[in-house]
Amino acid sequence: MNRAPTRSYPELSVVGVALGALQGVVMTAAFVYIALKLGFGLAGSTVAAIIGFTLLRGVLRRRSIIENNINQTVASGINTASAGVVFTLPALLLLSVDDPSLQGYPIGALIFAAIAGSLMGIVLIIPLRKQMVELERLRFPSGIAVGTLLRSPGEGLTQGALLMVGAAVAAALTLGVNLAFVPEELDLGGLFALPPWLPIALYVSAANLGAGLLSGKGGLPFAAGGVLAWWVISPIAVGAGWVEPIAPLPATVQSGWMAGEIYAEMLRPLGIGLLIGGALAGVFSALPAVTGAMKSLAAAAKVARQRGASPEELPPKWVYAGMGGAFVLMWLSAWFAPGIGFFHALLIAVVGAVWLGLAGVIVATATGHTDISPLSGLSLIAVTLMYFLTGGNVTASILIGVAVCVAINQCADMMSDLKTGHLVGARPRDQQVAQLLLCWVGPLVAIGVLMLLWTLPPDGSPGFGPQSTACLEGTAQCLSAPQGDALQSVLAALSRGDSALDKYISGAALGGALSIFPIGGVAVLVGLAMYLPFSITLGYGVGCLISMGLGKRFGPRFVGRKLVPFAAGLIVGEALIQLAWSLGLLALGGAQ
Amino acid sequence: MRALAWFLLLVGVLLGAAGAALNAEEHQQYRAELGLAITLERAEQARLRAADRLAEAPPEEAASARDALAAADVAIEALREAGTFEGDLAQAAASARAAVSRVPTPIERLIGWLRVGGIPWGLGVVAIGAGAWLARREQARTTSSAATSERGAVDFLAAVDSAIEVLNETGEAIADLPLDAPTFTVRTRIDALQDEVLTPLVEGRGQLIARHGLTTFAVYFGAFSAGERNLARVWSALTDGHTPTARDALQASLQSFEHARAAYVQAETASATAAPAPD
Repeated sequence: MNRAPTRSYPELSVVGVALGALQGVVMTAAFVYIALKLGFGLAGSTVAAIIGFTLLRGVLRRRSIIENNINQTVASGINTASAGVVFTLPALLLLSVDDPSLQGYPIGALIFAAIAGSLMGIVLIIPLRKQMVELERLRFPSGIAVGTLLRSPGEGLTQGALLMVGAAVAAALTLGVNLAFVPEELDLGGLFALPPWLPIALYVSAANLGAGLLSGKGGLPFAAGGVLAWWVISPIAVGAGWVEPIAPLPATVQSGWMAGEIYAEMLRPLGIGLLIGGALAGVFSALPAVTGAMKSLAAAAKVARQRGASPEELPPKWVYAGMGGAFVLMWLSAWFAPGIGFFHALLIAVVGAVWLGLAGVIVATATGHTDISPLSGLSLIAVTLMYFLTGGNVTASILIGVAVCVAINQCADMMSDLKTGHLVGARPRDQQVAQLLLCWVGPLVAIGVLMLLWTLPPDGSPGFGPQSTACLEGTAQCLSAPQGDALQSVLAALSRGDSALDKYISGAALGGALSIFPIGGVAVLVGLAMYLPFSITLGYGVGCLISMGLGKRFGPRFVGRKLVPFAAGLIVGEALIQLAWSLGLLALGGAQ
Repeated sequence: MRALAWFLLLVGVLLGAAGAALNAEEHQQYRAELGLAITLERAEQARLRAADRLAEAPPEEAASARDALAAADVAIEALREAGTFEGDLAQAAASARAAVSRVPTPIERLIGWLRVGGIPWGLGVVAIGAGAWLARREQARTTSSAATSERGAVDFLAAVDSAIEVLNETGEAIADLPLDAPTFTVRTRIDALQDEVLTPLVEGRGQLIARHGLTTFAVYFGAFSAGERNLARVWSALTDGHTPTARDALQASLQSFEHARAAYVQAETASATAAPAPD
């Protein structure tokens, strides 16, 4: 028989990278707009995998699971910049409306900062991949979902059918919620007239349930953290009078106020503290393994050189060079901020890089366990740190905030893509090289689109935000930029000296102590549960319990072969429908 | 000991989190005053917005704009009836805003919190630490007894040897396959290896960490993971009908598993040498 190959196997190919880059640019531009309009981003990896699957495998007839993995890695890697930029930079633009001193925003420095963040996010993940994907075996539910999707051409009919059923259920549920046939949140507590500070509510999201199904027992500490926060601490806080009531006030308004206070003034900042403490302890305890990982990267590179082959992973010199380059970029960008001297910029860059590394670990761990990323909370801490470090310099604070936000988003996305790569057998080196080569594209497109939208009105009025003409007139073109508006409020609170330092410190100590307990990621999971609304935690916990029940009843093979494709379908289906829905809404808005 | 560890964890988390959640009295007072000002301002703004909307509403939207204005009025009336404010709403909102105390600085807030919540929080941290110490001791004892019992032991060498055997057989099965040949049976065999041998080993890796420590474990398990990843590559390439790539990946997978095996044997030898001689 003829054993000579008649075609090469497409992997890190021009077609795969070009399609990924094209998708990434389009998604970045679209998601910047969507995030300004609706206040949330979309899961880039899943969408890119579906489009790549259709175009590469369906239209171009290119049969390569791994090439699609590269395509999806590139596309989502570029797109991560959209969330990183939209959650931070608009705050500076919105503040500049009332404060003319902020109007000379240093665009070049902002682009430098965003590229520095993108680069650092990628290189940080190189040694962490071994620790989180190979040794700790974190789940990364979206990574598994994309992996299941990519592998579907080779799976049996049952698995393919289960994936489709999951996607169909998710599509029906998501459409039901979007069309208001199904509530966004099932308020079961309301049926028993429970007050808002004792919630029993389920967030209606197929993807959230799917993430819980994929996490199983490992996700239980997350649900337990939510129970502790809302079913134990919250009632105690109200019963013991820890929340000062606004007297006198109608009863329903009063209990709503108390629930809001417990969340905003107690649980959320405490959750951020736990995340920080848990991550610090996690970094400390994983240090031997990460050191070992760096050594094994060097050894693998040496062996590959001796064999005349290319190594499967990037050698440590790439990590050091990338980190050094990103640090210099961050230093320069801080120096370009008005009112910041050369050495002050160095201090800012050092603190920013340290926080960025820690936040990257937090977000990768949280995403690895639950698929949920505490992006806004970590960016908020970055901005708070920088605000105090720069003596209230808003421009410098947001500049580093942009870098951190882009970096941590990149960390979460890259790690999830590497998990997918592990499942389909891609070479980590190829994925990382593709990301590194294009790490500058996302920040450029995201900042470019954002500035274009900001300067679009010919009369010089703001292009988005509550004070834009479209929003003041309440027209369909209004881009309210909710995330930027929220960060603007935080900066305003910081300028009044309002910061929950006590919660961050006490939470960090609790997180550190909890991390000694031999349960993987327990502090980060409990912290994340306190940080998020309970309805999300409970919905996810239900998924974990169902998965455990099915595993006990039918065994682990059933979970692996039946439940995983169904749960993956839930995640894929919701991502696809949300994308179509958001684009449809934008098209309708534009038409009006 | 396990029950005590969990008890300490639960008590510690409860005490620690509750203590940490407490806020200083000055901060609570500031929030209550701010809350009153915000409540009144929002009620006033809601009414102003509703009134503006009604003034500008086209005829077809007038009814819903009137409803919005009525709802805003009802909300304001409820506040008035509850005694939240008296007289003019705008004036009451302005007075409430003016009466808001100075926000405590972060350091003042920290010191105030330590006064009210510091003790339960500190006790909680100590209890968690004690529980964690006990849990770690218990885990070390359990994993070592599981490793010595036949039922619970994770047999790394047996799993790797199975993988090597299946890979060798797979290598023979695909040695002469042309491009695009059907490979469903081969892939099913790889799936079975993953589900029945490799995944259980991955699930039981805690025993290996307890036995050799994280650093040594990372060396051989890293190689094992590379073997697993290349096995997935074999599967993908076979699905895509590209047998030459599958053959290359198969060799890489074999090398990684063999490397993992050698590193594991080395780790075992080192731990046997380090262990004290039996009496």
